[in-house]
Amino acid sequence: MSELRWHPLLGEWVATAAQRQDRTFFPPEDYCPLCPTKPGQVPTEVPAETYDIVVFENKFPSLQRDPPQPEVASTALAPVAPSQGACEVVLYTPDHHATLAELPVRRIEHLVRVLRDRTRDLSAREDVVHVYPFENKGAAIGVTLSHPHGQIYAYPFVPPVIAREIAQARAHRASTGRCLFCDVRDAERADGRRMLAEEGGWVAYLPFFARYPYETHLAATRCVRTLLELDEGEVRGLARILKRVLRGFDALFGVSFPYVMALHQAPKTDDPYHLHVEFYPPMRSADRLKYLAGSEAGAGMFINDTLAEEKAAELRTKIEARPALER
Amino acid sequence: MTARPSPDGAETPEPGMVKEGIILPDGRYLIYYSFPEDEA
Repeated sequence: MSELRWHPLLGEWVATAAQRQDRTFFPPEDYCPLCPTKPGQVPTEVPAETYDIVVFENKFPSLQRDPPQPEVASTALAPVAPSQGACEVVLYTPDHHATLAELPVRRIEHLVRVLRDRTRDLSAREDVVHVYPFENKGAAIGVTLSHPHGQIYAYPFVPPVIAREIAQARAHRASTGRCLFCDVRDAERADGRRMLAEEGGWVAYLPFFARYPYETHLAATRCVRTLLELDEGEVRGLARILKRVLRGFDALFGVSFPYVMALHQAPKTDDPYHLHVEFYPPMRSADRLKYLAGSEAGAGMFINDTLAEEKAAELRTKIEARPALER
Repeated sequence: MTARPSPDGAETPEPGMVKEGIILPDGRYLIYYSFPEDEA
């Protein structure tokens, strides 16, 4: 059973994908479905002995190219729609034990190019309105496969978070004539206390309004809407600033730092938008996690038990203490 | 540059990228991306 069910109280779609209950859950390394297929070994998702970067359709998708017709009927109150769209898996490397933070900058550059290519291809589909690359990293986030990988969801509508950002950006433009995202980025640069790094057309900071202790945003210096508008210098800059921030994360507590990485780009509409990346790390200390509890889950108001200024200083120190990246 | 159509039909103009798509036995597409200039 797989369909989109309308949530009439919140005015948004919920994907029902019951087949995902049976998806692979932390298999032993020898049975990792994301490693290359080795001679004489169990076939994996990738029928090759090695690869650089691979993208494939998720075996357990929430959204798909040719979805089945819903098995439940729509009502006036709760419409139902086919789960149209795409769910892709992006394998960063054949190395089962690597992480994005540990990959060479050059490979991260190539990964950005692959995400740009997928944005181009998926956006060309008539059923796709928004392309969203992301990575869930670490068991604390709920990851079920440890092999380094990201995902791409292609939605047949503008998803709620992006729609809210667009509504705010539209209102800001109407009242000031300026880009909201540029104004936030410039305010962070002018203040300086929450700044983390600048690199090749990109700025990294903990926003003034951070909801998670180490919530980090990367914003393009130029006002670009999607990955498709980045020039080669900005592709390199994004790879470099990603690596610097991720190494800083890992140095915070001496562990491979869990996070959700969300790449936010404009949908296929004319709405005001600005390409940026947001990280939502769940750790608030070396041995404590930030849970989305009563206020966050039930009322939508986040409570951050820390000061962004202090957490930014802590993370900035770690980023600056790391050896310089290769040019 | 080598660019082949992806299994979902769009072209790929990324410089330096080789893109080769296949269809898996269950009908899903899989795309190999490689960057031969780095190996030169």
